[in-house]
Amino acid sequence: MFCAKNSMLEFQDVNKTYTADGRKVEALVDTSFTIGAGGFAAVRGPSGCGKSTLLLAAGGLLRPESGRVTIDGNDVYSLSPEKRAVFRAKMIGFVFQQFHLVPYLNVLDNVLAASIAAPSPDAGSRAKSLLDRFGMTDRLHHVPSQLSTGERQRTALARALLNQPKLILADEPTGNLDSENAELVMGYMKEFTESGGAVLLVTHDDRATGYASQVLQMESGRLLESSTVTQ
Amino acid sequence: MNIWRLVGREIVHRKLNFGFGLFSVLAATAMVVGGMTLLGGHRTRMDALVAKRLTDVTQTTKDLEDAMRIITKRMGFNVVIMPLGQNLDDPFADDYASKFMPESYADKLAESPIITVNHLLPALEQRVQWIERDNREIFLIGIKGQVPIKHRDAKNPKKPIMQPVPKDGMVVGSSLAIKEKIRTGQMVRLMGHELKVVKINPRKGDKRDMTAWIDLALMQKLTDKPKLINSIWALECSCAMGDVGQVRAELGKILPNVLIQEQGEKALARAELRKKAADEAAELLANEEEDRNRVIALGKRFRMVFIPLIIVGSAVWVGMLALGNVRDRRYEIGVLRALGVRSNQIMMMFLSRAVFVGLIGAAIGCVGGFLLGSKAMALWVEEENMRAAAQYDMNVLIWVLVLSPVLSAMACWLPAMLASQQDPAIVLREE
Repeated sequence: MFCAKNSMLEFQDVNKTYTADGRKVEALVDTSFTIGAGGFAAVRGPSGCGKSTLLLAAGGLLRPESGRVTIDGNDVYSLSPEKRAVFRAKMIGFVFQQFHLVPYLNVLDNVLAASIAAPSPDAGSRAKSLLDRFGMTDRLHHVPSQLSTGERQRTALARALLNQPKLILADEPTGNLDSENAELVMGYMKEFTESGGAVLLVTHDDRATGYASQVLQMESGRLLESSTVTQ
Repeated sequence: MNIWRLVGREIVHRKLNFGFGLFSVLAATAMVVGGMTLLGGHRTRMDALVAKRLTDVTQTTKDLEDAMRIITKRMGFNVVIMPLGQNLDDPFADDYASKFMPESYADKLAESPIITVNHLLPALEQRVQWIERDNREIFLIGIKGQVPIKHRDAKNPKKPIMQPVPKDGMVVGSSLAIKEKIRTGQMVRLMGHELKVVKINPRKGDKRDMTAWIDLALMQKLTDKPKLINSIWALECSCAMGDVGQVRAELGKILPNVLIQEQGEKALARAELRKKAADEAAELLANEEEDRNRVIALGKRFRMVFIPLIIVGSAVWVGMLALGNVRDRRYEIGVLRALGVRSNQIMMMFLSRAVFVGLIGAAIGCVGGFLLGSKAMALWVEEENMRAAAQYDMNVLIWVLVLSPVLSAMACWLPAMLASQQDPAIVLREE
């Protein structure tokens, strides 16, 4: 087991299996690791090794068969589904490779969509401030189809950060971006860790891995090694 | 940002899906409201027709009663009471009875509990020579007006069927007036008495045109028949259209020394015809009533069969569209769930959309259905004022506006449930 002080995300002997085509697939096997506050962990491994399962389990979206997942000291799966949803809204930000913006909402409303689950009176000003910081001020009223891929991912990142989460779970966030936008997005995530948040990043991208302070290598559902990168 | 805003934006974005759902509810509502309006309008029209027919029949019946009364009066009296021993040929030969009876007979009848006779008119009738007018032979009748039947007229006085002639007055038939150049208001001498002509009767076409009417007491004096009369006219017998024998039986018990002669068979025949006409009018009324009941039954069938069919059809269609909407928004739902949106919020999102579909569709459908229904009504019955007859039923409006969103939400319940139960992990892993 790999541990860190002031843990933000902690997996303890987490197991998860699937049945696919009548065959049992072990997605996570006795997986244990910890990411501390301010930590930036990159999960690497071949396709189908269990990276996405790890991310979903960390996000409180996929209950493991055994083991514990704690975020900021809270056992995620001991919460009721409704409380877990609220917890997720307040504590976790998601960034996806395909951005998953709501197609009929403009940039500002897409960012504000995160406030549906965690309403806040200053959500509007915070959303504008984030978009301003990400260089999206002149695109506030554009819908996703009118944006470049880089702008879409920056919008998705702003949405992930709206509720001031403590943990960002990112699944191949630079997969569809050019190097310039990829660096921009990774830079914003790095800033997030520097302000005390933690990032769990699933990636194949070496450039993205370069931002990580911790690399988790997976294969066939097993965490092979966790290495700390000296910046 | 909240669920309602999200729903509003989604409706604007997926106009076609929303539009199809809206059209389905709109069409169903329009069919229901249009049908109800059409039936309601037709029923209103039928009600009005039946009410009018009822008024007509009531008026016809009243007219019939008046006509019968007039006919009875014109054509002769229902019953003429004459002294016992009177040769019944005499009144037809001489136009009056040759025997006499006490005037008190009329009073006796009036004081009796008689029920079959409504009016009593004692009279003294004679053919006389009018000596002051070249001995012209006239038919002279002395009357004293109607003798009230005490047990009845005291409580509920009947309108007199014939007015008495003033003591020093005379009423003259039209032919007699022409022949003798007599005018109303003129003073004439009759058998030594000065009388004022109070009225010239209009032409009747029978012996009454050559008749003069004077006060009974004067007649008795002129003919030297003190306190005597030779006929009592018993008018408007209650059983006039039935068994006249009843009248005879009742009169015979009170006045055993009289003859009773039925009069006015023609009136009875005509009354029969009138009664038949009244019966036919009533039958017509019954037919209208039957038509109205048929419309009511049709309305009931419409409510029992067609409305449920329309509702189920529309609900299935709205449900299918909602299911399509859920499938289209699979990733969106997964992301919203990942963002912390709760399953009941997702459910609310789809149900509120369904309520909008139901409410807006119903509102437009109500107006459209009413306009179509009233327009169709106007074309159907080809009457200019029928649009007014197609009245809007407020209850239908309320029920449709309340039920439509509820039914729409019920139709979308399953798709909304599927959306809320969707596992975000599966959707996101598919990426």
